Amino acid sequence: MKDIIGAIFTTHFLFTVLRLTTPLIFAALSALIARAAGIRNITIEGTMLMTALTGVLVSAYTRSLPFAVACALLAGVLMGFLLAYFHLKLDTDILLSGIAINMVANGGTVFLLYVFAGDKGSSERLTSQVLPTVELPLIRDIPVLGEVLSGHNVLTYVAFGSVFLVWFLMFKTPVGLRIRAVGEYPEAIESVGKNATAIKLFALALSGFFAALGGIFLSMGYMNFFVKNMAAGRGFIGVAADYMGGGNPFGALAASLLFGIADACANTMQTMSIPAELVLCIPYAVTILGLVFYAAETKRLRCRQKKKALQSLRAGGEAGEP
Amino acid sequence: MNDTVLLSMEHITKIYGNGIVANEDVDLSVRKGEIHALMGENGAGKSTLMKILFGIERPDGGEIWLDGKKVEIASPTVALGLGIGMVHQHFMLVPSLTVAENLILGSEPVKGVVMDHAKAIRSTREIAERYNLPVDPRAKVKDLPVGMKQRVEILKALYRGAGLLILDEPTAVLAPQETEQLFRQLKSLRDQGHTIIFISHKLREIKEICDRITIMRSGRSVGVYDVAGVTLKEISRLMVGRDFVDKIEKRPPSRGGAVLEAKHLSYGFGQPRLSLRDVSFAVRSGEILGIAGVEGNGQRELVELVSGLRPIEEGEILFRGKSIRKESILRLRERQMAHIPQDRLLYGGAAKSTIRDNLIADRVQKREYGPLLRMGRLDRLCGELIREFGVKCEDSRNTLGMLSGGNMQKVVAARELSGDVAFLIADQPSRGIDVGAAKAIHQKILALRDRGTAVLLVSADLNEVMELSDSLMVMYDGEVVAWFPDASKVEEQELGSYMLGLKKQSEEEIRGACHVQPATEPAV
Amino acid sequence: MSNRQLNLLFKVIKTMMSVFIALTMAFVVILLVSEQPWAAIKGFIGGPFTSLRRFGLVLENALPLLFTGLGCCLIFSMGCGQIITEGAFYFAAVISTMVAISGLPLPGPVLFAAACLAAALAAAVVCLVPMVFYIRWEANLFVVGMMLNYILLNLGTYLLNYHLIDPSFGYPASYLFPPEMKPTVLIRGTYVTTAVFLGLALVVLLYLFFYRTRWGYNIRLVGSNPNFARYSGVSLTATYLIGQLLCGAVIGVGSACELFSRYDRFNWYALPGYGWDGILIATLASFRPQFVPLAALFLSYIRTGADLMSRQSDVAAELAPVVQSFMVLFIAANAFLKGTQQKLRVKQSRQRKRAGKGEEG
Repeated sequence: MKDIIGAIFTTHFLFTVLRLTTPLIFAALSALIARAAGIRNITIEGTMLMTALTGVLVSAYTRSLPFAVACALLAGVLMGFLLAYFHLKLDTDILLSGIAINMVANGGTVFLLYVFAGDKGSSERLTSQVLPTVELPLIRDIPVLGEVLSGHNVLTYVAFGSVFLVWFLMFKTPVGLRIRAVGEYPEAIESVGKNATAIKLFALALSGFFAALGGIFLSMGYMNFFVKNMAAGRGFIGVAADYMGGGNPFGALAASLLFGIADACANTMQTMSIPAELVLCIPYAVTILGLVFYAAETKRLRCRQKKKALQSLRAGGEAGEP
Repeated sequence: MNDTVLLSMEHITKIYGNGIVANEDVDLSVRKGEIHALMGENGAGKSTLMKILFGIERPDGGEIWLDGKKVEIASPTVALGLGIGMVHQHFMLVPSLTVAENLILGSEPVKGVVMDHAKAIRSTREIAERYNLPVDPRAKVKDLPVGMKQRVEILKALYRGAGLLILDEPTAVLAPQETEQLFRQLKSLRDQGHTIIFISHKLREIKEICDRITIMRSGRSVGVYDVAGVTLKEISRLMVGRDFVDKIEKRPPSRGGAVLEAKHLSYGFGQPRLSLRDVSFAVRSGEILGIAGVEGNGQRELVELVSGLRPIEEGEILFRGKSIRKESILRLRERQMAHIPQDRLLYGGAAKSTIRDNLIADRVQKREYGPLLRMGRLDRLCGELIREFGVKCEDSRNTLGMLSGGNMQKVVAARELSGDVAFLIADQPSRGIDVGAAKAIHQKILALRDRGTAVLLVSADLNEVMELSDSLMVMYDGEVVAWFPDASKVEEQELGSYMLGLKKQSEEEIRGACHVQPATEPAV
Repeated sequence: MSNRQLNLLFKVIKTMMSVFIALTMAFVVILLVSEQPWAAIKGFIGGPFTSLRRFGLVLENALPLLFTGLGCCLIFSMGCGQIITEGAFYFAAVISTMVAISGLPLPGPVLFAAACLAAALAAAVVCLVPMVFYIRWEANLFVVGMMLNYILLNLGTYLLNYHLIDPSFGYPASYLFPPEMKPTVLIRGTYVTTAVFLGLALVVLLYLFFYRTRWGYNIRLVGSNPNFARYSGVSLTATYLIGQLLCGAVIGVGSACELFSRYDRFNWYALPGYGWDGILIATLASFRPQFVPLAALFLSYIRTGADLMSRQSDVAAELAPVVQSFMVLFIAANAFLKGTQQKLRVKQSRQRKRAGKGEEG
C-alpha cells in the first residue's frame, strides 16, 4: 500500500497526469459546446483522428508547423460542418450521424495514411514536426511544483487556458448566450428573430475546432506520428466528462482530471502487480454514479415539491388556494 | 384614447394545408392607445389571425395596414421591426437564464467582445421602472412564478420597442391576484400610449379592462363593439352559438346504475392554480353525460385522470365500484373501459405504424388474441372494422399518417367503439373532421349507449355536446358549475353564461350530478 | 399507383441514390489515388465472385453482422438508440471462453451449446444494466452504455490476463478451445461453419417474434409512439426490459458463434466494433429482421470486396467503412430527396384527380 502511495505522489506521476489529461480536456470542451447548443456530438472521437492525421501529413509534406496546425484546425471545423450537413440539413438522426461519421473517420484515416505514408499502422516513416514544450520561466525553479507544472507541451497550457476561454465564451459573450439559449429553448431564439440553425452550425464548428486541438496534441505533442485509432476512446470520454461536469467548463476540467489520474494510476500500478485493468474501470464507474446521483437528486426534488403542496392542502383545507 | 386607427387588417383569409379554413375575410381594426379584445371560442380563428399579424403565418389573402402604410409581415423579425410584440401563451423564455439575459437575447449590448452585463441589468431596471413592471434582473427565469415570467415576456417585447402588444390568453395561466396585477399593468401601459390586443374568452376580464371588442366565430369576424355599449349577455350571445342546429335522432335513454364515479377530485398541486377543484359526478350505464365548457377549464386533466393516464392526487375515482388508483391502464381496458382521446396523434394512434396495427393495438394486449398473436382473427377483425366504420384506405398496411384527419379519427373510433364497452370516454370525438365522419361516429356512440354503455362525452363543440348528451355538466375554471339532468331542456344562451363563468348553480343543484345510489355492475 | 407503392418506390429510389453517391465517391477516390484504378475497381466489385472460397469470405464476414444487426433491430425498434451492444458482444465472448476452457466433461456440441447459453445470458444481463439505470433514474442511455463498454473491456482484459491466459503460448491469449466443440466448417478454406444455420434460424425466430407475438408487437408500438402504447395498455417498462434482454441474448449467441467459428483462442484486447456495425445494418434493414440478412450480406460484400481489392492493388481496404457509412448517412437522412418525394406525390395526386372523381385522399 505504501508503495502505491509513494509511487503516486512522485512529481513524475503528477506530470504524467497533466499530460494524459490534456486531450481529454479538449474533447470535453468540444462536447460541452455542442451539448450546450442541444446537440449530442459523438463525432469528437472521429474528429480527433482526422485532425491528428491531417496535422502530421501536412507538416510532413510542407515542413511548416503553423500551416499544419492551421490545416488540422480547419479539418476539425469541416468535420463539424459534416455533422451539421447531415444532422441539421438532411435531418439524419444525431446518434446515427455520429456513429457513421466516426466510422468514416476511423476508416478514412487509415486509408489516407496508406495513400500518403504507405503504411496502415502508423506514420513513423514520415518525419513530422512536433509542437514545442515550454519551460515556464519562474515556476520552473520552484522545487516540486516546477517539475510538475513546467516543461509540458505548449498544448497542455493551451488546454488549461481553453477551459477559461470556453467559460468566458459561453458565459460572458453574446455568442455564448445564444448558444446556451438555442440548446435549451430554440423557440426563444426564433421568437426574437434570430436563426437557430445558424447558431447551432456555429457551435458545431467550434466544437470541431476544440476536438481538433485534442487531435493535434495526440499526433504532434504526445507523440510525433500518427497511429491507427490513436484517439482510443478519448472522444467518448470527453462526452462523458462533459456530462459529469454538468455543462460547466470547470466541472469538465475536474472530470477530465479524474480520468487522467485514473489513467496515470493504471500506468503506474501495472508495474506493481496490481491489475491496472481494474483501476482503469474506476473513472467510468464514477461517471455512471455521477449521472445517477444527478438524476436521482433532481427527481427527488420534484417529488418533494409536489408532496409539500399536497400536505399543505390536507392540513389547512384550501390553504394553498386563494 | 383617440380615434386614429393604428392597425387595420382587411379581408384576411387563411386556409391551412389540410384544407381547414381558419380565417375567412376577417377584418380587424385597432385604434391607437386602446386595449382591444379579440374574442371567440376555441377554433374561431383568433390565434391564426394573430400569427399572421406577428409574421408566423402568411395569409392567403387580405391586406395589413399599420400607421396608414401597407405592410408585408414575412417573419417575426419584420413584425418586431414594425414595433409589434407578442406575448405567447407558452412563454418564449429560456428557463436557466436570468431575467436580464432573456431580455437582451438576440440584441445584446457589448463592450468590445464581452457582453455588457452591467448595461443589460441597467437597461432591464430602466425599462422595468419606466413601465412600472418591477423585476429582479438577476433572478433566473425558472425560479420565477408564472405571473413574473409573463411580466418578463411583456418587458421583452417592450425592450424591442413594441408599441403594439399582442397578448394571447394571458390570464389562462395566472392566479387571480396575478391577473389583477396584470390588469393594472396593462392599463398603465395603455395610459403611456401603447396599444394592446388582448385575446381571451373570459367575459368579465374583458369588461374590466378592454375598450373595444372584436368577436370572431367560425373563422369570421362577427363585429366590433364598444365594451361600454354592450352587456355581458349580448357578448355571450354573439360569441357562443350554433350557426345551424344539426338535430341528432335518438331514443330516450334507459339509465342503469353508476358505472363511473368521481369523488372530490382535485388535481394540479404544485402549480400556480389547481386545474381541477373538488369535482364530483357519476356516469350511469345507458346514458351519455356531456361535459360542456371552453377548453382549458380542466377537462383534459379530468379525462386523463379517469382513463388512468395520470395518477390521482386528491379524491377518488371508482370504476364499476372499484377504485382505479391501483389499476394499470391494461386492467382498466380489460374491465371494458374505452377512450377516444382528443389528440389523435398523441394518444390516439401512431402515425408511423400501419392502419392495421393501429386498429388492433388494444386487442393485442388481450388474452383471446395473444400472446402468440392469432393473425387470422386479428386480420378478420381489422377488415370488419374498416368496413363497418367506413375507413377509406387503399390498404390496411398503409401507415396511419397517410390518412386524412377524418379517416384517422374513424380508425381510432373503430378500435375504441367496437367490442364490449362498459364505459366510454369520448374526448372531442369529432374535432377537425368532416361532417360525414362526425355523423358516423355519433351514430356509433349512440348505438353503444343503447346497448348499455356509460358514456362521458367531453366537447367544446356546442352542437355535439347538446345534441348527443342525455345529461349535461358544465365546467369552468376547474370546477363543475352546472348540472342539467336533461340535456334537451337546456337553452343555448343559458349554457353560454355558465361556460363563460357568468353564472354558477347552487351546491345543491350541482350535487345532483353524483346520483347518490349504490354502485352496481351493469350488464353489458 | 397507390400511396403505399409510391412510398415504397421512393424508398427504393432513395436507397439506390445513396448507394450510387457512395460508390461514385469510392470510384473517384480510387481514380485519384491508384496507379491501376481499373484493377482496383474490378477487384472491389467483382472480387467476391471469383471463387467459392472468396464468396465464402462474404458469408463469413456477414455472420457477426447478422447477429448484431438483429440485436440492434430490437432496441432501435423501441426507439432506444444506444451502443451497449458493443460491450455485450465483447463480454459474451469472455464468458463463453470461460465455459469453453473450463474443462467440463461434456461432449463437443453440448459444450458449444452451453457456451452459447452462457454468452447469451451474460450479454442479456449486460444489456439490461443501462436500461435499468434509464428507467430508474433517467440516466442517459448512450453515455451509460458507452461507459459500461469501457468497464467491460477492462474487466474482460483483466480476466484474460489473470485467469484465462495460457502462459505456455507464445502470444497473450486464452487456453485452446477444445477442438471437438468447434462448429463444423462448411466451405473449405473459410470459417463458414454450421453457425450460419443458427443465424438464419434466429432471423426466422425474430421475424416471428416481431410480427406474431404480443411482445414483438409492443416493441414496435413503443418505438412508433410511446404515448399511444401506454394508452393502449402496454407497460413501457416491461417492454423496454424485454427488448433489451432479447437484444442481449441474440448478440451473446452471435458473439459465441463468431468466437468459436473463427478463433482457436480468445485474444481480444479491444472492442470488436460489431456493435457499431450492427447499428448500420439495422438502419439499412429499416429495423426489420427479415431484411437484416440482406443488409449484412451487402455490407459484408463491400467489405470483402474492398479487402480483395487491397490485396490485388494499391488501394487500402479501409475504403469500405467510409463508403458504407456515407451510404447509411444518406439512407437515414429524412430530408434527403424530400423535394423529389413531394413532387412525385403532387404529380400522382393530380393524375388521380384527373382520372377519377370523388375518390378521397
